[in-house]
Amino acid sequence: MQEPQKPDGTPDFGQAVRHFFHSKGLHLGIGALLVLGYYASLPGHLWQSTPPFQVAPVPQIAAAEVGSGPAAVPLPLPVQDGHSPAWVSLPEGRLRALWQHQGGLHSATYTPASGDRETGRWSDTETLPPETHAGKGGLDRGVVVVRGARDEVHIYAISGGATPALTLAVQDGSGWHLRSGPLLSALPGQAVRLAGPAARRTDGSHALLVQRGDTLVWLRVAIQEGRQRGTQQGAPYIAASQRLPDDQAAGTAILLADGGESALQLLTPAAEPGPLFWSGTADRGERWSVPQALSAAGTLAPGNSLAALRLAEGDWGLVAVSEGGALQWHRGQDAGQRWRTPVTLADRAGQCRRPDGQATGAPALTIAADGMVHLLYADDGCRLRHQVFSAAWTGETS
Amino acid sequence: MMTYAVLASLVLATLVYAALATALLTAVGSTRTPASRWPVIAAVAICMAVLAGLSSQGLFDGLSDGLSDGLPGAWAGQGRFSITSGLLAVLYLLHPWCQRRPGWGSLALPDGQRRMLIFGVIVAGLVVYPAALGLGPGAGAADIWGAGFGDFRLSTGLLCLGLALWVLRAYHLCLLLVAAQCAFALQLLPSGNLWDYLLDPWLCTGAIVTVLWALARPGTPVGPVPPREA
Repeated sequence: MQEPQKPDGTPDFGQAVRHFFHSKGLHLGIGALLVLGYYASLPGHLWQSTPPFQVAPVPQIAAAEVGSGPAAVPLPLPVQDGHSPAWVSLPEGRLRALWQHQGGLHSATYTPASGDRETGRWSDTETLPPETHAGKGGLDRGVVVVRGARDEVHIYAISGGATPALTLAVQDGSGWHLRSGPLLSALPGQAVRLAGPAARRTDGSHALLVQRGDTLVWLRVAIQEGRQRGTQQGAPYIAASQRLPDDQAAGTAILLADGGESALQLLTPAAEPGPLFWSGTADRGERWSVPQALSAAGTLAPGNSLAALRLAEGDWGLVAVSEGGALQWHRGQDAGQRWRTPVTLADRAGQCRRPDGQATGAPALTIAADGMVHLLYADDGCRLRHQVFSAAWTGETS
Repeated sequence: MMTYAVLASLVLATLVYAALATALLTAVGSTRTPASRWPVIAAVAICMAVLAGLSSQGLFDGLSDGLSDGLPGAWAGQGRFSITSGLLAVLYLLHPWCQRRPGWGSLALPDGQRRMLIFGVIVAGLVVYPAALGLGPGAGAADIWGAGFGDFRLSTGLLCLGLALWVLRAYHLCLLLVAAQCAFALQLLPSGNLWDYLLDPWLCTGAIVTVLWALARPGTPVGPVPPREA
């Protein structure tokens, strides 16, 4: 193509630009750029299928329902002020309890009896650095504690300001490492909080329940491996988002994996006492069944009123705060077809309120390597209580 | 810790504030901004961008909650201006310079494309933001805002939109679209949502205000018309 020339023979760059803008080459070039943009806008994980759910391991003793009655061992966590508890299972059968108190996040670790030590023991209470949970405001916006793919402890929180963003603190052998994550809201000032416990998938990503305004959304949060796509190594990113249907307004949702493909979603009432709803998926969470009321659980208090765990295939254990504030243990079998008579664990629970009147977190439930179920909850005086019982317990003391 | 996503946000905020300051000076005073005012505009824009950035804890670690929540600067767009807003600000700021050079006028956003852009931004904003607030349709698999985290349907829809613009030879809009998509691929902004690269609330608000202004004063150009050479 002849380069446009000025009368004095020097090339006119402006003429060249104008010529280029009207040429066919530009037209085809921009068409090619559109294809490039299409490719660029496709998520990197699009070509990978949604990873299966990771099924929480269940100790054989619990599955076999050996033993009954409240257990004397292991040692309960000493009663102390606190609320919004959480459990993390650590390697070698250790359990770590975390709870909130006076704007801080505290933890203690239980080491079970082994070898020359006849009884288990609790470590001293440790107060976590404020940056691990984005300060006091971060606690108000909810904190989710989970075990990472390499047995490290992950704390997800939401940083404040008009642009709420996900933060991740990872504790490994060398201490805490802080990672900034993506923005979580579309509009500035939108209230965003973490609304429930996390579930794991086999690729190490976590399903986090986020409340954005009045909407509940499941986010699949993965950890960036290496410096790909310009993000910080180890930083969390949102791999997928799935909004709960509007007619499924819930206080919180708990996801229990029953297999790689199948899972159960339990939904507590949002604002008024009501029944517990459940829905299921058989395709890794792509589609969910229509929610149905679980009448066996009775009427639940609204909001964070539920803790749940998987005891065996099709066998579930729930601790729910009833409408009257009683804490009850429900044991369901045969995929929820049979339910035992609920056992009342405490008459007045779920009454603890923060100083600003907001409800505190749900009870926390986990199962230890010895098959014992560990429950942490805040009583009506906002004191943290720890109960240990067998999964097969029917409420009768022997 | 300041990542380059934060730097990119600061640059975008600076560009947008500089364009706003220029537009205000142009509206208040002469038809074009004198060169002597450029340092003032740049200083104001940088100060506003830094103030907005400091007030956003999500972008700067280590600041207390009280500081983060208390400053109104967090509302000023830090970490929120889209790539589209930034590039439009660049086009606006460069317009007088392009006008002075023969042939470079082709870089300016033509009136027809400006109208298309305003219309598109308003429509997209009215679809995306109510969905993000849970007001519109968008439950389950059809979560429109959630699709921005990675959904081939959204990408394919944008490709179709781009092809329509390409057929109409709206090259500027095609390039704006491609730039936002490429920035998303590189994660230049502190967001993993494609919508945050294409749109921002201030862009939508500006587009709506522009249309309302044009309706209230018929005969005025649609959209912010850059200052021309005297």
